[in-house]
Amino acid sequence: MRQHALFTIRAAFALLLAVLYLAGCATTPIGKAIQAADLQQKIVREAAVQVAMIHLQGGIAEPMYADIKKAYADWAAAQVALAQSIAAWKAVGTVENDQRVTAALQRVGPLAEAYFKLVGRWVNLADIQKKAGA
Amino acid sequence: MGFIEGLKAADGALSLILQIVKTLTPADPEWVKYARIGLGMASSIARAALANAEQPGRYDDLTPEEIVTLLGFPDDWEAIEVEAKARLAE
Repeated sequence: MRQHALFTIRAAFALLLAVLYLAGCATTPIGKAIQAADLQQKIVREAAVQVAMIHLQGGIAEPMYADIKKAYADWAAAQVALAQSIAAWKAVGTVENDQRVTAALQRVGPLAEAYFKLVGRWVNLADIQKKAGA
Repeated sequence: MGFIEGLKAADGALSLILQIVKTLTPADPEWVKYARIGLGMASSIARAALANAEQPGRYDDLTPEEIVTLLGFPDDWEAIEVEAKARLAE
């Protein structure tokens, strides 16, 4: 059962990455890649605010809260790298810059997965998606 | 099949899969929750990409600096806690 669950999670996020990559490589690549990253960013941040609210009300113990903050920090660093790679790609559309975007997307995916697994125990991600305009 | 048609088909398939998962799993074990999240996110991003493909707009016209400003926000958990406190105070 656990193996099945892990496979499902990996498959779902592989699909997510595939969609992101598809968006990044389409006919108008920059806009779609930025929009997908912006959407994910809004969901991550809103989830973070809600988690912080729960923590301030005593609903999340300090060790778990620290884990969530660490997952957020890891994701944020990868997101900054993704932003920089997309910006470089926008400035100069070389093969190297295209590969940087692809690599950055591949780094962000697992970190977002880890973050959503943690915060998904405390907040309703489906509601946050709607709030983010997804 | 063009790009937009392909995205529409992918988004429709994802939405269908999501509905099937929701229908068939009333017990809601943990792995289903994560699968729903993953499928829901993928579906949402497909929709967002589709919307941008059909209506290219502000995201296409950003300068590199604007892209970094929009997406590369700093790791500032203090700002998140400030916003959380403000919401709780409301």
